[in-house]
Amino acid sequence: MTKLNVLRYEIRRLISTKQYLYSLLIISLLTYDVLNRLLIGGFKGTAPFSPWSYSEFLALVISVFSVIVILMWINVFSEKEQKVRGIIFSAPITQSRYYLIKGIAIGLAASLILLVIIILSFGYYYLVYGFSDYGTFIMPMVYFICPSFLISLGLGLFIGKINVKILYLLIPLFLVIGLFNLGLPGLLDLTGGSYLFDHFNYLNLEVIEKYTLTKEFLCSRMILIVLGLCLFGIGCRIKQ
Amino acid sequence: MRDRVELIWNEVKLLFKLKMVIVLILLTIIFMIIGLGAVNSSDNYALHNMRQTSRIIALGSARYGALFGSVLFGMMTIILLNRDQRKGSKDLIEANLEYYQLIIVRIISLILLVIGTILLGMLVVFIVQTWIYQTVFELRIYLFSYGVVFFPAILFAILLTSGVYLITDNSDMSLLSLAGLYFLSLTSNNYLLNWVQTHALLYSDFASIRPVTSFILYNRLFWVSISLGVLALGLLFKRRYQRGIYESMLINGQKLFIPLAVVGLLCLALLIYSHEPLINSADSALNIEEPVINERVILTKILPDITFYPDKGEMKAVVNYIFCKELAEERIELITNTGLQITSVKVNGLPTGFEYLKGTDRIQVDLADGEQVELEVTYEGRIKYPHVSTVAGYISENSIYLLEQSHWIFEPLTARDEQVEIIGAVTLPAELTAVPVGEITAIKEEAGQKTWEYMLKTRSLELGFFAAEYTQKIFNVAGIEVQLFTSPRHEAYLFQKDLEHYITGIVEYYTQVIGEYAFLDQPLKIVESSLYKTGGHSTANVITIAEYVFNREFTNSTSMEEWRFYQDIELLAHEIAHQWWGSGVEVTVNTPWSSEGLACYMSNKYMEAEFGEEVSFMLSSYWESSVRLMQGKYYYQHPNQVGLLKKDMQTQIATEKLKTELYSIMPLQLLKAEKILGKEQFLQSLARLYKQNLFQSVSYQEFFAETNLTKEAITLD
Repeated sequence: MTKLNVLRYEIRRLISTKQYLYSLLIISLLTYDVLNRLLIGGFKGTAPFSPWSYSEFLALVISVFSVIVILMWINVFSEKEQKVRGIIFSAPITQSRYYLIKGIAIGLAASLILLVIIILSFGYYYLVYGFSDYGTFIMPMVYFICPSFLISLGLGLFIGKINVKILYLLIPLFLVIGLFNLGLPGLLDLTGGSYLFDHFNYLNLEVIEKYTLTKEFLCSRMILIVLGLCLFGIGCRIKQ
Repeated sequence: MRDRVELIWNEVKLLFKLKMVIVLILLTIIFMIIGLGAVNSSDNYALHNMRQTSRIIALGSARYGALFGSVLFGMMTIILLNRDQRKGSKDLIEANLEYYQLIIVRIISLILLVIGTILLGMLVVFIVQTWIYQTVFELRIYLFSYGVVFFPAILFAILLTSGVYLITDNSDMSLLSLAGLYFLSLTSNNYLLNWVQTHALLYSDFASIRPVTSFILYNRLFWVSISLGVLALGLLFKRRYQRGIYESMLINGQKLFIPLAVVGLLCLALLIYSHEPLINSADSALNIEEPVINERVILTKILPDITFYPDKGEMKAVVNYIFCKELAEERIELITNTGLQITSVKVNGLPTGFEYLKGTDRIQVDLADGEQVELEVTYEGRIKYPHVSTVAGYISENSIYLLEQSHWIFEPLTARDEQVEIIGAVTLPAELTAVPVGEITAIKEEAGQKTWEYMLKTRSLELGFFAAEYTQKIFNVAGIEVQLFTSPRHEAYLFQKDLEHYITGIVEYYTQVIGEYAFLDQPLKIVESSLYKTGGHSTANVITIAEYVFNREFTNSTSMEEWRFYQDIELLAHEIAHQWWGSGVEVTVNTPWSSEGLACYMSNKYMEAEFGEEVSFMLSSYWESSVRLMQGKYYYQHPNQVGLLKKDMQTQIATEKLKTELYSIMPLQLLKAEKILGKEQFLQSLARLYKQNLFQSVSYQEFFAETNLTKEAITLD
């Protein structure tokens, strides 16, 4: 019960900051901009509400979303937080458990941002196109949200434990990989954007209609999910 | 002053003590080096495998450096400005020092760090290029690219994040704002918003870099005012002595120059944005609707006298048009280029008025009564583009490229005589070789300027003009004088791949299969053009081919490289085919029927004859896949939804559809016709169609009549 209270407190602490509200504002504007400016014509000729367009939408938005997750981790490892760590660890809580709670809190607060993105996009599709078959977006969400989300969560904790300054380097990494087609191989393509851009040209119409992704890509997503979870687990256990 | 210099020096020393700064410098330089190979990862596959000279790779290095450097240095700015707050020493410093001064000093020290990073990076790039790429390092090109693309991108990142940090007093919010601006820059189609990398991909290897640099410079001007404005706004809102934003603003605003700078700079940015001088979005090239033509007036003759000023990028023109009509007064329209200012309009030697049609690039002029009327239009200025990536014409120091679509010679929207006579003259610096349409009748040289006189009789009024420092090669094929104009920089590849052999083969093939070249009294001119306009173009008896076809470097002999070579030859064959279908016989457009379909089909037949069926089949399979892709497109299947889109996107979708119809559906239909009739018989039908309609136009109906086929018979399944 106490742990649940601590978690609730952590989440409340995270979402009641002006940074969090600003993140919500930025991501909401971005969601609208991507849907209304970049994807209104549909991704590579598919419908603006096709699973492909939704995948591209997620790949673009998720890069800025990952930056938000990294910023949350930077705050966890900030000098201000480090100063009170001594007092926290004098309480009956292990380091692993403390970071587990922090991680879950960040995960839940970030999920709330994701929820806003998804609700906004659904609302947009309904209002503009009268489209409400949201079930078709489940697979894009699994393939394009989970790996990036988990890898940013795991990597943020793991690297933050090693050196908070390196965490800053993840910001350009997510931004550039997500927004610029560097033609990266699957495992380095953290947001899946390069895959969509490069491989779509080689797909035939049947594959496009059925929303079939290549095995290599699916494997890379799976590995990123497992890697994200492992890094999170290891990150919790590393002693500072 | 000395104290300030010392303060800056101390800050720079402090910066170099940070391990993060070393990492930042290293990462930026690594990406500058990776960027050297950016041309081979471009989205435009035609640009891959170009010979990697300084001009081809320098911009890539600057772009990649800017891509990473802007975020890294933006982050560094926040870390640096946030340092005192993190350490809890801000109030202490503020009590002893004017904090403004410290902020400015930190920004300056960061800028010095950027300059140092760029210089060090340039040294490393120099070593890499000289040792690994083994090409000449052109310092001027690198200085420009790093100085105008790379450095400003990082400068803007520093100024913008500083400004936003001072406004928000929060590092997370500043970083997120930077991410938002970065996103806008990388995804926007508006070149003014591309502050990180700019819109330009690469420079031409032989033509001037001005066609892209004018856009880059204007973009930089816009962002200098924006970023300084945001910084000034930051200084206005900078928190003072733990006060809130409003109270701080009141204190900061007492220094009057700060609010004045905010208003001045942001107004200037607005002014720069709203008075963009290089693009005309109302250009006729973007208007896919057919223009209304006054059929009662017939154009018989054009006498253009043009003087070019390549160093200024300008031209001056006096163009006389001769029209025949009924006695009564008539009003006609001319398509202009809005970058060219009209200085006078005369009808039969008398000055007359004219007016622009609102929201267009067209003017209306009244022609006086009389059966023959002479209209003289005088204008001068710089060519405007329809869009930053749609180059229909430019004038620069060592290259001039003017397609008829640029309307460098205003186009009258009237009926035309069977053969409109063009007698023209162009004057330009003597070192440039001019390639006008038609035949050169005289060349005069005076005071370092050459005047090239030319004449042409044309039905289609295609008046392109091209000039550069070219090497000219003349050879004869099937009684045709072929003049090949290429850059001296690309002679080695021309020789290595024996492109002359393929040009000869193409011309011989068409002569043999379709018929004699229509303009035996005129040379067929093949001109290397810059990559600012990719692909090729055919205008009267001149065809232009983008420079990459003449400037390749195939190193691995992979199937991709082989394929690229085939595509280059196909492009040559396509444009040469337009001399038969387009120039010799005008093909009346009735979508999908147009000269494009015939040129695609003919080039495919040549590829089959030269390289075998497998290659021609592979090339034609591209048409099938593009048709299938178009048919699968959402807005193709749901045309009623197109209304939801903005006008520019509607135009884009309509253009894509039109392109597929002309370049893919029509050649596939011709292949189907060939299958029905048999190759030999079908080609004979085309040859008859060509012969019967030489110097005239041919319609879709005439094609069916000649081949005894029907529209239904060749419609694709």
